[in-house]
Amino acid sequence: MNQSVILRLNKVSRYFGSLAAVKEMSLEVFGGEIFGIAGPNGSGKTTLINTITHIVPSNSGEIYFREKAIHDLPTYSICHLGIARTFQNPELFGSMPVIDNMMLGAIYGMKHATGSEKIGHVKGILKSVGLEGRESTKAGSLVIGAKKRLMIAIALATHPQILILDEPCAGLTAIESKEIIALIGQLNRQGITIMVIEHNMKVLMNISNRVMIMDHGVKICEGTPDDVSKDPQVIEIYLGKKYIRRGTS
Amino acid sequence: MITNGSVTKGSIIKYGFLLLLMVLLPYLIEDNYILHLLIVSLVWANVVTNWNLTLGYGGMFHIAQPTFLAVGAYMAGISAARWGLSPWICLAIGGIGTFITSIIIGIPSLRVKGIYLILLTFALHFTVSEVVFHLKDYTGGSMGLTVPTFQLGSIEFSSVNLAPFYYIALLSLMATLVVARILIRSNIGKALIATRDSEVLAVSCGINLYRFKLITFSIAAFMTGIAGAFYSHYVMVIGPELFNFGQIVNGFGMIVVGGIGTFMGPVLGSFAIIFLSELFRDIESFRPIIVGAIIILTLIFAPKGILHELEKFPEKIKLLFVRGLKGKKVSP
Amino acid sequence: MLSTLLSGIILGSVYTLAAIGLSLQWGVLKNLNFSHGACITLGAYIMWTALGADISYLPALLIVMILTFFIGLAIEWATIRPFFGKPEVEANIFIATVALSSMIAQAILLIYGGRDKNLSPAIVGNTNLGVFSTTNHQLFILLVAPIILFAMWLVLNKTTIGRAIRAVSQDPLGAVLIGISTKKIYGITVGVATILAGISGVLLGPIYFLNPHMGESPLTKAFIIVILGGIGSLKGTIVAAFIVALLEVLVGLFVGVTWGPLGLFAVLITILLFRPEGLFGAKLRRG
Repeated sequence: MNQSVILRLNKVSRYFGSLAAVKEMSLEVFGGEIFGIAGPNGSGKTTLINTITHIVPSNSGEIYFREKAIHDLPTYSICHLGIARTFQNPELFGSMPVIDNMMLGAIYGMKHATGSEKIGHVKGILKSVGLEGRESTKAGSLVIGAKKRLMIAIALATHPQILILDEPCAGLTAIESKEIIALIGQLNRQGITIMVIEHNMKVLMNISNRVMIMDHGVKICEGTPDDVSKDPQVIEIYLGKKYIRRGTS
Repeated sequence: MITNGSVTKGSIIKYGFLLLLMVLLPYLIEDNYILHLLIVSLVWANVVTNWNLTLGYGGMFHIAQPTFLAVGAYMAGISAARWGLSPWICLAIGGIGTFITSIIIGIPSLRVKGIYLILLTFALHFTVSEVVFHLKDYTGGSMGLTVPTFQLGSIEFSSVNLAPFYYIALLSLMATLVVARILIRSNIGKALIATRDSEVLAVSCGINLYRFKLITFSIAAFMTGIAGAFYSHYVMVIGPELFNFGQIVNGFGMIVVGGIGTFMGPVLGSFAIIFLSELFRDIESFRPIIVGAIIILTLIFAPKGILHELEKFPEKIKLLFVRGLKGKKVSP
Repeated sequence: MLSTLLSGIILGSVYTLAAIGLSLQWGVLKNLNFSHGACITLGAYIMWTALGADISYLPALLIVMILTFFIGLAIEWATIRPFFGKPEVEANIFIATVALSSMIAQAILLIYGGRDKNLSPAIVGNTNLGVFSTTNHQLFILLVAPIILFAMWLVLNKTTIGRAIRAVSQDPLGAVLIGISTKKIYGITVGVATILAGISGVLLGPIYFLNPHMGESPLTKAFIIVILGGIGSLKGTIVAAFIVALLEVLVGLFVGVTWGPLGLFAVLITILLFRPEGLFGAKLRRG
């Protein structure tokens, strides 16, 4: 993990009417780290992701990716720069087969690569997410575990530098979650910076280098899992929820 | 709503025969009036195929296509009637002029939410018809515009010899179908179809929706403009009735009956609507009401198009039969 | 000039009613009802029929309001409700309501004939206001429109039904969870919006002539108003209505009525190019 900042938010806000879903959020993500985000339901985590990727425009503040201002760029440009994400509820091209889903990501998300490079890239991803052999299955007919893996695969097909995962383990069994966690660790070791929103505190604390807790659109606390777990405000929010940090993976 | 559209051996044979039949028709049919209906059907099949490309595949809601037909017709008509240009060149003028019109309304509205495109095409319809009505010196206003027709060597293009017109119309439709097919099968087409499934995922993996929508919209407009230009040189008199709102509903009827988002559906729907309208000519004044009702009922009960339901008919009969034999409910 | 401005303000009041009906439906149904324009025409023709049957003005207006409400319910039942919960909701509602508007226009044509008709205003004649004179009908509009707007505001903010409507427009799922029948609300919303359309028709009738397609132009303007004002902003809709109306009369005065539609079209394109969120819509970071 290097110490350079890959993603920087400066006082980013997003309002819906008079309700602040994200309020003056400032944060930094370092290249190569796994940055976890947690918070109660409705704390603005997904909105934060949506503003970074410009699915929803921010109302104020700045966002920088490798020192390049991205807060005014359309989503597809942000993808080309190297930011990819997954969604809390599975978003897929359901009427198309798995391979087409991923190829679309490669064709449109990877700039400056030849056709055969893209195909090779996609084939490699198929293997790492464990969808080998299911290339022609219609995406809409996959079970939820496979759907979530396909979402990650599509994001990877765009050859990102930073991968933002929105609740990757939601709706999965313990075994499936473990597989996803292992995949995340593997991707990080390959050099991809990861931002992950996760409800399961145990999981989040275990895999993240640093963690941020949000509530009502505002940052409550930020730091190593150790620091955050001792913060009184955080303990208050998660009233009595105890977890054990079992060393680094 | 989007069928896979894969080309099977069966469909090649099916459509091959159909094409052969279409080519031979002028020799088989004596009645000029039926030929006329066929030509009009070919023109409208062209229009609705392009409309379906943008609406069914591209997910763009709008009512621009009939307006584009009229724009192409008037641009070609004026160029030929007022400035004496050759009708063949006017075909290109009709196409290019309509292309430019589509860019003018496409650029501001395709970047933002879909509702703006709908609104802008309503405004376009209204505006163009007013302009045509008021620029009487060029367009002939409500009196109509007389348009000269094609000339090619010794071929007779007249209201008694319709075959040459028929072949131009057929060729024009074929061109549209080929272009549409190429577009749908291309990466652009795949991107548009993917967007129907999940727009948010599409933009997140780098698809520049706006660019692809604009490309599709303007190509569809270009082809429609040519069809309109042909139409004006065929009927030789055009007037503001081209802007009747009924044309828009008729067009929707063709698409809906044939099946939104299917490839050949609108073509078949076009022939169906035009010939059925002719059959029920006596109740012509009820046509908008009947077509409107058909549209609403089809959307509710047969959203994939009436033809799709007809294709499923043999299976349904089989199912009923099996149920009857077994004497109890069989789940399909 | 002053009288032109006044007619602009009055036209703006009528457009406001039609546009608010559209905006209301959009807010609750998340879809546009394209037969809204045909309902403007219907309102005018129902009024004409009632007046022709020697019913006096206010009872006739009441009849229009009652009938248009039920017509709105029918529209929702036939062209909107069947498509909720099924794929391609927006496409289906779009095509179905466009088809319906054509059906209504044709039915009117068949029943009443295509010739322009005159619709009597509430009070005939003119009044001299010193500097200029105005038709009594215009004064009538100036009186009636704010009353109706105020009544709408009362209903939306002070009654149970109104709160239910606002709840559904903000959060349909939440509304269901607290026991609101969204289906009923959808129907009532379209019903109320159709009443507004009908009244607009009654008010517009004496200014222009009655013909089966008279609702189309106000509908296009209502669209423009809803865009210009920013979808979802009531204040924006009202301001935009007056801007559009004043633009219409001023262009008509200086440049000639011929170029009105083209000018409006150019304005529309300009708005979309530079400020698609409208005057009062939430400012969008361009992407």
